[in-house]
Amino acid sequence: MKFNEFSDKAKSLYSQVAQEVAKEVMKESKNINDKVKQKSNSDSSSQNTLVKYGEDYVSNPTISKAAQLIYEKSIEKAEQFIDKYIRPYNVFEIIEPEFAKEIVNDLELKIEKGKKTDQNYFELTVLYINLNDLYLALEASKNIKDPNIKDRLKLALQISQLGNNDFIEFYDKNIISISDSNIYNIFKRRAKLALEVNDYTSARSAMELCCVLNPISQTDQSDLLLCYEKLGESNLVQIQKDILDNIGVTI
Amino acid sequence: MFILKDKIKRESEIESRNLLRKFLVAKDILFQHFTQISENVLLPDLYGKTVLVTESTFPKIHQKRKIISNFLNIPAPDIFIYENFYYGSDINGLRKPWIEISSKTINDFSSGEITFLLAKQISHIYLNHFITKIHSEQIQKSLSFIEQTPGLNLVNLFGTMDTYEKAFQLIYYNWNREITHTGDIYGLLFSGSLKSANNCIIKLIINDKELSEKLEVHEYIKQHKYLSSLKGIISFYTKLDEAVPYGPIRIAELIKFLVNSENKKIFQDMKQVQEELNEIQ
Repeated sequence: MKFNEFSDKAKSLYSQVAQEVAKEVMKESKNINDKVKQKSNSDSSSQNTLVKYGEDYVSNPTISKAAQLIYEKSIEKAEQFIDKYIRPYNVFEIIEPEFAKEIVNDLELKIEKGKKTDQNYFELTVLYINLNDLYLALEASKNIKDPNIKDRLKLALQISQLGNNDFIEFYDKNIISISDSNIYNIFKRRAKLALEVNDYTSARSAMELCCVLNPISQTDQSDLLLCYEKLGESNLVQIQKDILDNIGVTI
Repeated sequence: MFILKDKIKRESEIESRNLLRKFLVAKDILFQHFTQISENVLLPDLYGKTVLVTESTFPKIHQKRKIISNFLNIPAPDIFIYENFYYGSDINGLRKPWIEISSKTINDFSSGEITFLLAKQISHIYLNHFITKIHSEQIQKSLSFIEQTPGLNLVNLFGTMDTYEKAFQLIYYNWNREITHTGDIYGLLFSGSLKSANNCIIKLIINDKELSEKLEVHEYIKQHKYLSSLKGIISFYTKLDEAVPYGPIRIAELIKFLVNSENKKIFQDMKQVQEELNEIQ
């Protein structure tokens, strides 16, 4: 192919690509704008997040103030859109009380400013259960409107209110649904109660769930090793020792 | 032998892919452009400025590539070594994808770390991640064509395209972070050593052999706690703006995978191939 032909072909393809993608951009941007608009209508204090939380987030001295405003506004829209789908943290994995409390404060601030979404109340409920504050967990869960989200928390809230014997019975009876609830504090309590009576089979499954949520916990990983050793799972013992070695536990 | 992709299914990756799919438009024309123009621009430089791995030039890498590809039942991809001061490797190409690795990586990484890296990259081909990656990158590039095209640049009136571009970038990076974790898991399964996996991840991120050898992995992993709890919109979006996850998060993700006893069994079942690869020192 001669250079001229190559150049023409490249140009023609560029132009087709640009047109096709531009069409989709218009379509999808309308979708994004509609979704953000819907959200803004139900959210009385929806202001520019960049202005609220830090004007230095986007600073490009080379573009004019007007362009800057359009840019900020478009990024804000993009962020609001993304916020519906991607969370910057996994609420189930925020185990350490000092960090959990910081996220609680942040969520409460959001709610106070009008973002009374089911997602925010759901996250608050999970954090309160993991912080052992059942009263506040129940209060937060009352604000959730979506029945599916409510159902997801129902068993976790129910079991958290039970005394040890009833807790064990309820946990073992609903083990699959409880495992799906993904709440560390519940798994940890079940594992602890099982270890107290040397029930290593129950402790093992609960402790594995704990370790998935809190993978760098030295105590949880050591307890899991103990379960494998007591159950004679020599293959699993070796890999577990490898994990412990990597998180700084000398065996 | 078993089919690894049937055994390892990460929900978070599936979710991120489904979200990204909604944005993956104009596939035919973008791929036509890539195969007819972009790929042909890359190939002469690839053969002219890098070194192709063959049985005689880099026999150990060649052997490892063969074993991993055989296990995954895919054709062994070409591997090219290029000169660079940075550690790194990537996949490219659509019709016949290839792997590129920097010479510094080959020189400084241990045998186990090289196994981890090769398995990780080959897994991206095995799982067809490279197709989605090229599609996404082409969309990002084509957005800049729109800005340069008279008439079409009107699309950006009132920031329409900036919104789309930013939303697309955040969604693409989210998927990219997920496939990085999946690739790491494949790397771990083939290298058979959590230590090699962690060291490789740390070296790739820190880009300094001495520093990575000095640091204590268990101390480094503790930074994961801080990362997962940073609050405030600026920290949040800084994290979401990363195409590759932070090092401590990657290591924690590997440990999470290995904690599960089903996954421990997969790890055990791969003992034979791990030993085969370890013999190549």
